[in-house]
Amino acid sequence: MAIFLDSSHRATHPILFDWMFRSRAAVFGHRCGWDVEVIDGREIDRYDRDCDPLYIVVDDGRGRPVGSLRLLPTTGDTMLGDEFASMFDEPVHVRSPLIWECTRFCVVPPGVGETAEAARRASSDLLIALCGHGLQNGIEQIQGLYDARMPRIYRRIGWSPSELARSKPEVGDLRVGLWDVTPEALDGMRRLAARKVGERDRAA
Amino acid sequence: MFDIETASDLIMAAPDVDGMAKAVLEIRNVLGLANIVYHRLRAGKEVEAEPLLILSYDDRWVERYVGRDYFKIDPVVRIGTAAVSPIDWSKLDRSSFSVRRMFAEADSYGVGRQGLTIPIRGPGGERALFTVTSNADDREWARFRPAAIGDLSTIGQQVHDRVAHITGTRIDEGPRLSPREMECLNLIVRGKSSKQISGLLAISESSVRLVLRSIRYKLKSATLHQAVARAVSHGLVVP
Repeated sequence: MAIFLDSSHRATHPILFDWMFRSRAAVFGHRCGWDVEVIDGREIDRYDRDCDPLYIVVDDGRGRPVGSLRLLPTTGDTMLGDEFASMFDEPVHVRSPLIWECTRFCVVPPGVGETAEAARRASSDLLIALCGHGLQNGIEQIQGLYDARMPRIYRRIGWSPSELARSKPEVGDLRVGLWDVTPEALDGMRRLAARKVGERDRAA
Repeated sequence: MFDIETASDLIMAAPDVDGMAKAVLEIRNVLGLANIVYHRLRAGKEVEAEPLLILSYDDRWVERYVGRDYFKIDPVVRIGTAAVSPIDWSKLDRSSFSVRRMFAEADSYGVGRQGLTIPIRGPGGERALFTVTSNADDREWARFRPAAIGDLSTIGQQVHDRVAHITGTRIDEGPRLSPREMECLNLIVRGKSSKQISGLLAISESSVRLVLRSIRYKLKSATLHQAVARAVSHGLVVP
């Protein structure tokens, strides 16, 4: 189950927003050790505060949120346009109403007694929701910033980005990638996800 | 799809806001729409005290709307700067009686049976809403909408960018293409396909597509064909 949130939902879904900022602090602040600002256990940056992004949140099928991501149109302020471009030798900044930037792709680590499969399913649900949303809303490409561990995960989900640039070595191992929003990508991911559900049910 | 090149030419030829208002009327006809509204919320970081509005609506509807202060209850206006994704009017909250009555009245003034409001963003915090309406029935609209929405976003963005330029809220220094973009543009002019460009420049086809979209945006063009024509007229490439 995916829910789409924007600034107008801050008042109606405060708990969900709070969960999202806390999980981002846990994953990006503590776990990844990124240079992010965490205040009172929440990771909120100027793009959340000033840019009115679109967020997608997915749950585990039982109402518990397990993953989120953030989207911004490249026609306005973006991380790659405003602060991260200098980390790359290739030009990564683009403006187009047809291309959106995805950042803060965040899935909670498996809890006690949970397998990595739950995290993979959350990632899959997020990307399926993202692709479906893109197809409905005229978005043709998603541009995203991710670290070197992610491409393997994207491949297993069935929607791999095409790499646009790698960060300069002193910055770490970050990549900018492009996902093409197509019906084939969506169908491919859904089929893979359905197969996993089948395997899980048979194993149970 | 529909003639977005003509729509784009009309936008780029508008010399001032009145000219844009005239262009919008023509574009509405070219694209087979009932109405078009451009509503600028922010020319920069601050909300506009008197938002710029370009409307193709019947003057009597505009009078009625203003006279009854429908700005206060119109769910489209209330979305305002929080809007980030396109909103189909069928999804708007019409639970209030006064909102339903407003829409019924709007209908009687030919506003349009279907509506889509596309939020527009720009550099430095610019925000606007671009609305198109149509008299298509539900089934036609359900088919038309996903197919047209990319083109409508492109047109809405061009209207916004052109208005920013003609009202002086954005300084337009002319298209500045990156070296990579110039490389791609020159190859396109020489008749190369995305696939060939990908091979020649040793970049992925996705990267080529990104570069081409960026070129179209910078050259304020709805299609690549138009971008090439504009590049030639700017003297950026030799045909």
